[in-house]
Order: sequence, then C-alpha cells, then structure tokens
Amino acid sequence: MIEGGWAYVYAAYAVTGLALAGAALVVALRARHWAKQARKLDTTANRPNPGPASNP
Amino acid sequence: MISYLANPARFMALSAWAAPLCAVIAAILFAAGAPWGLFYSPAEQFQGETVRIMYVHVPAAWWSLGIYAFMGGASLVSLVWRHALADIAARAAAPIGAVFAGVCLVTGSIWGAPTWGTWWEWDGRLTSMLVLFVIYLGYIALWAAIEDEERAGKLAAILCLAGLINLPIIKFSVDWWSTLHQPASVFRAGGSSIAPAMMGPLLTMAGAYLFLFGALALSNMRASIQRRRVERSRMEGGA
Repeated sequence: MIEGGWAYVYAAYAVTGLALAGAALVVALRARHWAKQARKLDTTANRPNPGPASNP
Repeated sequence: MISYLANPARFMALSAWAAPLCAVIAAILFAAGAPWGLFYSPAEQFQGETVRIMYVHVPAAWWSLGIYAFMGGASLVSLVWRHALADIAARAAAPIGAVFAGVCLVTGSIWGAPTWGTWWEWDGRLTSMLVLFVIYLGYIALWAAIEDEERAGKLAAILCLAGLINLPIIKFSVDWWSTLHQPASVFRAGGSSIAPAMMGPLLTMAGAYLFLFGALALSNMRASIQRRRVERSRMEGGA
C-alpha cells in the first residue's frame, strides 16, 4: 500500500477548489457586469423623451 | 421544450431562478461530498489514501466529456435548425468544460506521481484527454478570433462536431491500447467494480460538478444574451 499519500490528496483538492472557485468567480463577475450594462440600457430606453431643444 | 426556450426572453425568465438554484444545490453537494470523500470514506487496499483523489478527478473527467457532448448537440442544433440559443449555449459551456478537463489532467497527474511513479505518460487515455483540453482551448480561441459572431458560430460548430470523434477515443482508449490507466470501473459491462462505500462520495461529487456546470453555463448564457443586446443597441445608437 502507498504510504504518506495525504500530501498528494490535499494538493489535488486544493487545485480543484481553486480552479472551480476561480471559474465561478469569473462567471459571476461577467454576469454581474452585463446585467448592470443591460439595466443601464433599460433605464436609458425608459427615460421620457425631452423633445426638441428650445432656443433661449 | 427546446423550441419553447428558443425565445431569449423566456430563457431569461427561466434561468433567473434556475441558475441560483443550481448553484445552491452544487454548494450543498460539494459541502457533503468533499468531506465525505476526504475523511469518511475508506482508504483503498493498494492505493492507500491517494484513492481520495478519485472523488475530484473522476467527476471532472466524466463531465468534461459530457459537456463536450452537450456542446456537440448544441452545435448540431445551431447548424441544422438555427436555434437562437444553441450557439450561445455551446459557447457558454466551453470554458467550463476546459476547466473540468484541466482539473482532470492536473489531479490525474498528482494521483499518478505516487501511484505510477510518474507525473505524466504519453499513453492513450492521458494523451486523448490532453487532446480534448486542447480542442476546448481551440474552440474558445476560434470564437474570440472572429469578430462576425454568425461566422464564428458556424466555424466553431463545425470544429466542435469534428472534435466529437475524440470522445469514443477517450472512452475506449483503455481497451484499445496498452495503457497505465486502469480500465473503466463504473460504466462497464457487468456493472460497477467500485466498493459501495466509495460510490456514495463519488456520485455526490459527480452531482456537485453537474449542478456547478448548470449554474455557470446558465449564468454565462444570460451574460452573453445581455452582452449581445447591449452591443446591438450601442451599434444602432452609433449608426
């Protein structure tokens, strides 16, 4: 039986945790960014038209 | 169902609650599966404690193949039926599949060092898995390299369909060639050869990876739909 395998086990779990958490973070940040941009677009689209500018 | 979801507005409404739900289920399954695999499952007779690496390595391998098959299906639907969300789905899944394939390769290498006495061997299973990882990167790079999204989607779909040939090669590589990698032990004729005490954490972690993929792919798709809408609006505004 292989002795002292715990270092390899912890290394594998650490790599997996970092990779999956990193992927989740990148996806969450991207989703947040485009949701914000889309909300901004909706706000602009719903703003009432000020009409033609009048000369003073 | 697929044609129902072809409407991006319907998809956005559905995914608004489906993505967080998948994330919560994934978190629960990881919280249960990781300690179960690390501390509450038995060591193996020959591999000792290193068998616990299987609980992160094997689900990553399964779903990196599964995600690629999903992308192949989406690419076919995109090319044949021009489904509005098919190329978005395939593109959204690719980086997650690449991460899973990378996790599979690295954790497999970490397992190989104490078990085989080598970090890497150019045998059929390891090499075909590396090829899958490179195909994922190529698919992502192709999307990024072509500005015209319609053309990029078509070429990426063709690349994805061509790459499907690698899936049976990965699956049967351990039967076709002499390899260091052990033969299939779960999905094989005659049933699983894994001890029931190890199947629990393995299937829990497989479920965690699946729901994580669901959460990330749906979030990525939502972001892509919103990005297209914002960019189209900017172009129309600037024209």
